[in-house]
Amino acid sequence: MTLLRAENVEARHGLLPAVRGISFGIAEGEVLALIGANGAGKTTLLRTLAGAHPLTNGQITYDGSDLAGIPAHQRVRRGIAYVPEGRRLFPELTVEENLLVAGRRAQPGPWHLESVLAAFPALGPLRDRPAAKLSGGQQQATAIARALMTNPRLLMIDEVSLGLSPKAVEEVYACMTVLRDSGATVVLVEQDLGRALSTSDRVVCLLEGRIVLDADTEGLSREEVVTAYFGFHQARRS
Amino acid sequence: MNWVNAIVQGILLGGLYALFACGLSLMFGVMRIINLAHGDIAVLGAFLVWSLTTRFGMNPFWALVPALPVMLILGYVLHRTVLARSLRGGPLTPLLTTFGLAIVIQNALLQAYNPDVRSLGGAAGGIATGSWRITDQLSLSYLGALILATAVLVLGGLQLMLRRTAFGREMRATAQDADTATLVGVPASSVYARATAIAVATATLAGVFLAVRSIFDASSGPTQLIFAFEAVVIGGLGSLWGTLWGGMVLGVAQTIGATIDPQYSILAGHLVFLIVLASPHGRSLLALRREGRTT
Repeated sequence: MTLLRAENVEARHGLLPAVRGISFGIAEGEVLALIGANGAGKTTLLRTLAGAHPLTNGQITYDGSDLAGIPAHQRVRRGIAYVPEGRRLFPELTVEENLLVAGRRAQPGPWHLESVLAAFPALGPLRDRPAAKLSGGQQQATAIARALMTNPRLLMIDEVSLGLSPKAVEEVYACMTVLRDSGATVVLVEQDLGRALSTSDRVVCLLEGRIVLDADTEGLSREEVVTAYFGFHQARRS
Repeated sequence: MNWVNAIVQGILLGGLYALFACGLSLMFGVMRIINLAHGDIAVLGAFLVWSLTTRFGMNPFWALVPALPVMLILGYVLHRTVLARSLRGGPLTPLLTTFGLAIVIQNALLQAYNPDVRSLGGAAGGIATGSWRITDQLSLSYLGALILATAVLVLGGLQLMLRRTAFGREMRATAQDADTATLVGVPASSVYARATAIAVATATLAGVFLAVRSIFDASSGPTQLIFAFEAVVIGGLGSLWGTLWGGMVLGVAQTIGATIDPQYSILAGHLVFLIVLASPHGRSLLALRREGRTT
């Protein structure tokens, strides 16, 4: 079943088109990797889906209903969660407070403070620590945990491993295992192509705001991905 | 003993300034708005209580019971109808909007009540004039103590609300990063509207205490805004307990100035404000604001 569908989605930064007529769908339970070079439109696309960036043209349907005009905070209550690039934790709030802020208006579901802390055991001893004093990996784990507190059906994570040490990346991808096991539908933006391919069921590659590759990861060669990523020629499979 | 009396009276006066300043501080801390209509909103609240007092013969403190909910709602509506739109226009638009609002309130009050000065002191009974006599040269007025106690309670209550309640957490999160707050399900506009409602209610409380303590008219607002602004800056922008401290410093400066010479009262307060603003402390406060620190 398709959980989210984007049809001819366009988004701009001022007059500059960042996302140009993108169409794709995400099936329930699927893990989709969104890849592309810097400036390809990945973050703008995710922010548009989350309601944090205005949709210039096109249509986004989620669970069968049109999301037009629905603000970001109401999309969260419908089950769309977004972990922004750079984590964007509330720096003066503790880890526990960051989680509770997200959980207050969440739909009922399996994720609450205790279950999230059980799923991310590294956060337990840090629950009273201000977010500003966490390491990069701890911040990313907290950001993902915070998104889970909203009991999402669709979780979008922007730049999963950007700026993290190799050890922190391992910690964060341990969190990804938790997400996969929970059956969540995940869209992740990842610059590390190896990680992206090994973690996801499907890859969508953007180039200059357009989809140049949309394919299942199974059977997809690294060469095909690299070719699409750098725009040597436009490839499209499904 | 004159100096001791000046300091004690300054601390009591500082309670009033802190009460005026806490709404200004809250709105700045949460929304980054300097509400230039804050003093006029306080005076509007005082006129509302004055109307209830004169029409129904109520004690002004009892008149606060219906007046505060009315002003809470007014604050909420004010944000939803005026401030929310101006916030979308960049940092200068709310300044211009609240400046315009201040002029509208002043002229509306002039139209409705005429320019006469009035006071709620007479209607408040013995509390407005009574005092505890400590020594021949030192006394504590009931009203001053009540105002200071109210300021501590209001500021302490707000601090407790911010630290211990779910709504307070949402308010702090929105203050730190409104964009991200919406991405975790917090309706930032609703949080802003409730912060404005609280600020307007605390301004009303301050306006009524001002009206009981001295006199007021339709143009009293801007003077109170200046004192509130000075207390907020001296105490640290967006810090509630700092606001109480700032109010006391300003009050003590004014009473010590008045002890030296009555004409130095207001000037001494302004001088302390300027000294704090120019000091490393003041510069670090402004730097903290640029970094987005809050309560």
